[in-house]
Amino acid sequence: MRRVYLDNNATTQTRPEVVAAMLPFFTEDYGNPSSGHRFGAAAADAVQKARRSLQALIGAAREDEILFTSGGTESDNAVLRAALCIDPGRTEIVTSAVEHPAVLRPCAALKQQGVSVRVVPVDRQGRLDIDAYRAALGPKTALVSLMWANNETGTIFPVEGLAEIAHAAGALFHTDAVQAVGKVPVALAGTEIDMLSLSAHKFGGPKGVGALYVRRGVAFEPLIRGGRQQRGRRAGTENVPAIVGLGKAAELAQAGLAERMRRVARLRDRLETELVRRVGSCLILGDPYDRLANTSCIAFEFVDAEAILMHLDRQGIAASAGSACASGTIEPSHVLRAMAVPFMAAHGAIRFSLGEDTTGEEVDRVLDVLPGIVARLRGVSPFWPTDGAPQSALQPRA
Amino acid sequence: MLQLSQQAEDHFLNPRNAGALAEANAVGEAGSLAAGDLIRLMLNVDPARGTIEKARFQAFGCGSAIAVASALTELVIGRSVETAQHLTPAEIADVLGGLPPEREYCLALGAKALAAALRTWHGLSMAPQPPRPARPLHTIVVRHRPVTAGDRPAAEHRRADAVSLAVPRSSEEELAVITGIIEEMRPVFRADGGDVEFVAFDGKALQVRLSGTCAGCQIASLTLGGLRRRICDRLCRPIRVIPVSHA
Repeated sequence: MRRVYLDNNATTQTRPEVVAAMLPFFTEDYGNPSSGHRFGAAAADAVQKARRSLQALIGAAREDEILFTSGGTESDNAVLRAALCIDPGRTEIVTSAVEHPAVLRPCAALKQQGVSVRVVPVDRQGRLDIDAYRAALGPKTALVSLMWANNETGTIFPVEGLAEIAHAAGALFHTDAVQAVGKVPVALAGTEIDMLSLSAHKFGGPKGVGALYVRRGVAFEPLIRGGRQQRGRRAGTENVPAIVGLGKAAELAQAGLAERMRRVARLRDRLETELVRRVGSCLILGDPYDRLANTSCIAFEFVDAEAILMHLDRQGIAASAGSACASGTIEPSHVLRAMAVPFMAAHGAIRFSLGEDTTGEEVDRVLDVLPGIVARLRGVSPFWPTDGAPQSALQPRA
Repeated sequence: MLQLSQQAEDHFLNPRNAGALAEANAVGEAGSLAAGDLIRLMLNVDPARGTIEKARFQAFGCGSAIAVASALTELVIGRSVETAQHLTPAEIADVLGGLPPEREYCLALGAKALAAALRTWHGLSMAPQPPRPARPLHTIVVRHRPVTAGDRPAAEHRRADAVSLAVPRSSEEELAVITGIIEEMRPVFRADGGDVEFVAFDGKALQVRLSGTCAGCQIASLTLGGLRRRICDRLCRPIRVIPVSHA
């Protein structure tokens, strides 16, 4: 059975070119970039080259604005800790209700320590409430952290404008761009964004490596202290093979980004329109106008997402319910709750996230099997108003 | 994703006795939409012999809930009401080869649905009544309205007493649902010597007036909790219920 992978917002396949670029740094060029000999120099050069590739992908003005980290979560944690150390008069954090747990959980922990955290709500399409955002900002706001694109619905926040509003209030602006980098054009130099988190495995790189962009001139406190690596901003010997992989993935992601995303968007739109037509009683969640090209979050009413996923998995199709981090709990994800999606639909929300290699045939596979799966589950659902079974009590009697 | 045992997966993929049972005379439910899982068990009990002749289920929720409900129907068919009463979650677990720890609560849900169904059976058998199709507890009988216009032919399903949980789509419909639920629950309040009246609903909070012995009674807040739960389940979103004093 051919496997169909439509969970690229969870992680992507490490591209073969990326793996090939990484391998020599395990076997031959295994030096420590901090070492003075030529083993070390080769590794340091490779890290530098990766940094330049990433600089090009995110349009940073300078390469020393980039720190390599263990991933998006570390980058987010580092920012939240650092921002509170800068100005003792600014002790508040502003964030949104639909952020990734990598932002919300550290915020909750900071709250326990007495930091005031203001959470800006979103509307039913997952768009940020700008008025509430302006109202949340004040002279005590140290940091604003708002995601570029939502992992569950793909809704894109207008971060460039949001950054300007934050600066007008004198606050720093951070964006968790883990889902955006490699999917939307990013050109940081021309924006007022101060800090940005990204992760390699979301765009064809290896897991366990990411980066944090910190604009030159923005004060920063390291989260991890130790050696003088990365100019003292992130201690610990660089994960050279992974960083090389990140650099290669960045290089690949930059080439022809717009054209690739147009192709993916066409496939995604076909998946959505056909599912709505063939299945019925489903809602497309997220902002229809400003959304990642690869992401589709569809809520099938009257059925449970986990049951759908188990059926899909049997057919070799991988998708996810709400947020992958939330699976194992039965509550609808915090994102769907923040969007006030009705319970009946939120429980049946499935996220399809297409990849660059997703084909039309793969979309057809889903379109072939999913309507049948939903119909079967609705057939046993006590909420589905018309039970198709012949012995149903709901059938009209002659 | 949670990995089910072979037996549980079989029950999930090929559920036995799924669908509504028209000739049910004992129906029980456990769980709720808000909790994410709901099992409805419908039994046909032979009044003379006291044995469960038929059992069917409807379930909403994860694969485990569906597997539990399916296994439960197989376990109870042919049993006497007396022995069925002693069925434990562990017996359901045995049939399914166990469940993942995160989903073990579904076993208790199945047992609760059975207990609820047997309670309605006892209720019916104590006061002999002409046989009639049992209605599930905690569901509201409303006139069926297709969920998506044009999706299904409406005329086919126009039966006044069809059990339906179509989500109301406008504030007028919501209001009608809320007043309907209050009317349905009034006998409960009146049985305690009090009464409940609709005052106002602004989309978020429902104001009701309690009178008679209900006013100021602490038990009333429990009953209001039940009212709130039923309304939330029907509207598919949380609301608040606020008792207001006499004006």
